[in-house]
Amino acid sequence: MDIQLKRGLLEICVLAAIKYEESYGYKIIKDVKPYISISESTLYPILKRLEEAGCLNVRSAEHNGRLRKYYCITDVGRQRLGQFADEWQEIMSIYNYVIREGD
Amino acid sequence: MNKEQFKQEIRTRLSDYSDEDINKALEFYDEAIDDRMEDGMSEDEAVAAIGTPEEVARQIQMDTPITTLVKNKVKGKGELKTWQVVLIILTAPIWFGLGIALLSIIFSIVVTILSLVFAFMVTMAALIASGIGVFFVSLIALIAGGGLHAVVSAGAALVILGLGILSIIPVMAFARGSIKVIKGFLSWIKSLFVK
Repeated sequence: MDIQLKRGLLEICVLAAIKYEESYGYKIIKDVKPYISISESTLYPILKRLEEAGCLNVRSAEHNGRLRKYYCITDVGRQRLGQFADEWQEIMSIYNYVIREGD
Repeated sequence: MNKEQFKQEIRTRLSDYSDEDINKALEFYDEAIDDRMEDGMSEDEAVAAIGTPEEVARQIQMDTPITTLVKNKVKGKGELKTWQVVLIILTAPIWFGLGIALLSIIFSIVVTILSLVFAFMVTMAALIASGIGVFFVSLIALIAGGGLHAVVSAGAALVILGLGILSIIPVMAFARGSIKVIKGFLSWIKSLFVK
């Protein structure tokens, strides 16, 4: 897949993974993996970018005697997901045009 | 590789970054490895599943704007000592000149390539335009009654036009190639700042 496209889709998938409840790094990877290939080394810059863009908040909480970071979606993040859904309609109509059959 | 070796390796590779950036990244990978071990992996397996330290460092660097990379490189670790500041100011005429020279070299290479492309395109356009022009000359000669003159001009017009049209393919290929070369050149310059 095209690198820029994948980058954008990864951000959307990560936001989708925390859409209903906050989550942590390893769980996000496990949730997203069935849909798009992702590893910790790609996830880290994405989380950082999303945090800088205000799409998610981070909080640390204790887990088994160590700290774990939990990521929680913000309104900006939700807007981003909505925007993606809108754009996808457009992309689908382009897709249909691309694969159309001749008469 | 165990967790400590892994983290040490990342620390070395990111040595141009601030302590804060490094620690933030290491905390994240620390947690990731612990989570995988809690899931039943051994320490070595968990580290291997994360990816190599090279990959980790590369992803972080790719996400850093080139201006920050350069700044990190120039600034290095920690505060500058007084004698370093003095030295930097005293040697300003040297490194400032060198910096400008370096930028001009990069700029002139790009401009040279682009002007070559432009020159080829102008030549191509001139051939096609003069081919059409000579063709009209032959028409005028025909009307004026100079039969031989008209035939010679028409022949010349065809040759010139043919050359112009033939040159379209190589010139376009050259233009595309040049743009690729420029892109490659610029990303190579960026790579000089990414270890």
